[in-house]
Amino acid sequence: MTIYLPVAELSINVLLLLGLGGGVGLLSGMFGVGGGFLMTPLLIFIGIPPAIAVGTEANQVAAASVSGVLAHWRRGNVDLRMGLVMLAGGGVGSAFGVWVFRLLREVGQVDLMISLTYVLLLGVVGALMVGESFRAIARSRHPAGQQRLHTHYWVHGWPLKMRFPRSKLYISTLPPVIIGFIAGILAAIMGVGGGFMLIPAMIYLLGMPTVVAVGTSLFQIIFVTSIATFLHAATNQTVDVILALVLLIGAVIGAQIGTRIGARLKAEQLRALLGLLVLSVGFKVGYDLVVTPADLFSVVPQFGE
Amino acid sequence: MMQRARFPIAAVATLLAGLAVEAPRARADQIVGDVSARLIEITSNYTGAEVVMFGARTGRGDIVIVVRGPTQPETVRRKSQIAGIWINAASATFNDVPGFYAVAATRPLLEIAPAHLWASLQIGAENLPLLPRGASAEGQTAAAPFREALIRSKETARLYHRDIKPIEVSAGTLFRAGVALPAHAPDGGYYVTFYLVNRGAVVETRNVFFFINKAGFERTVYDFAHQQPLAYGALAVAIAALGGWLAAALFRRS
Repeated sequence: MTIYLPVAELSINVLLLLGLGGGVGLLSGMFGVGGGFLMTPLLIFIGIPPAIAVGTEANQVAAASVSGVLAHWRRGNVDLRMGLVMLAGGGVGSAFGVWVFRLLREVGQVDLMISLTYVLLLGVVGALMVGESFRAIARSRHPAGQQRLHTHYWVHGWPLKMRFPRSKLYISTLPPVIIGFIAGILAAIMGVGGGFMLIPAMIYLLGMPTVVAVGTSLFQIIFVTSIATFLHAATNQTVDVILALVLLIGAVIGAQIGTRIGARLKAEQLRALLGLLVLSVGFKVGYDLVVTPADLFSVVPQFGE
Repeated sequence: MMQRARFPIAAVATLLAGLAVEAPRARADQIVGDVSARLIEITSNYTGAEVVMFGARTGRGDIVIVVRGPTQPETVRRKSQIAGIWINAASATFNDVPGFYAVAATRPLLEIAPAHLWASLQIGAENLPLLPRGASAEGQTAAAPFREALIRSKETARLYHRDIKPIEVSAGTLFRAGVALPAHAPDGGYYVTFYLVNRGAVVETRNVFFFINKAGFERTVYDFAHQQPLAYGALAVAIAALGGWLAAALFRRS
């Protein structure tokens, strides 16, 4: 049963797409991650042009984040003021990312950039996850001493301070703006929300409470990926709404099942598994860059005519 | 779904009548031809279309039919290994690349006439006038592998047919040949040229057009994305917001 993707201009099995969406949704439900960093490379593996995989995945992440943020919003886990400050950086970062994306697309190097950023990101994130989860497994066997409740980090001394009552912080607005900016670039050039980077940065750099960091990152991801989607559609015509919808259907169902499974399993071991999965996807992307291609030539219609 | 006119017997009858009237005239070798559909609309099931080219000829000459799709510029890139990674390096842009190209003939082309005739008529995929943009004489030679790769890519996509399609001739006069247009054949005007070749020279040519027009929902989405990108982007965001909210609402209840 095939479906024609009008913007990607190819026919593909709809069950394969639903399965991909469901599988990545299952993992994102289990681990509480967005899944964009797995979905984009998988779309490229099944033959979706990389530029369209990125633009479309930004669209799908926007939808998934909307459905994810609502529960956090009801529980009061969204720091609206922090989210808006980060968004100021995120909007600019996303616009900058789309601009770089377009330049590289015109000179035929956008696929390379997507692959390289994925190898780098998946390698680093995968290694950190595996390392962290092994330490956590070790800790659970040898319970350590008490942790401090509140720490002052060096970024807290920066100028332009603002009060963030929901996060119980009085810090400079520059670090959140910079974090948002980087997340915006990631959304534009990789089609990811960047939660895997945002949440640790918000917890360890800004000192936000974990639950508020999760809710607030989802909140700002909605807008950053929406901006990225809009700009990709407007400048590169690389957003396939039909593909995004099919993936969303799969992902939403998968995430519901994943959340239920995740609640019953041991978190540290699951994180180690996810880390290994992330590493192997990164390895595959890297391997494809190094192995001699079957055809050295590629043909694309000329742009701008 | 594609729509195809029924094989127009009346048209052939008219052609034959025309030939009969013209027959007493001095020129013995004549050709008339037409296609089974002037407008092909591809809507949703995307199986492509089959166009029948038919006609009649007098005399003994061979028939060659060339189908040429709408042209556009295309860029061919070659990967090179730089620091262990395969990177798009050299590239060549070709102007006026036909989006579809097929040749049908009663016999293999080289049996009909020597190669220089086909080269001068630009018949056959290898004789297409594909010129790299802004290249000098030595640039043309350097571009040969790119040209070859371009043709190969079109052949893989079933858009170019290097193997010549046979033409069936019945009663020495009526001929017909079919050409398959895949679903991804580009939209626009297709030129069909009928050649009558006798003793190594073209004695007569006829031209007809047909159009491919993609219709339906998918086409609408594609046009919308390319013609009104701002509105499309806004709609994509709105759909995402609505879809995400709906999904959350749906599963909150259960």
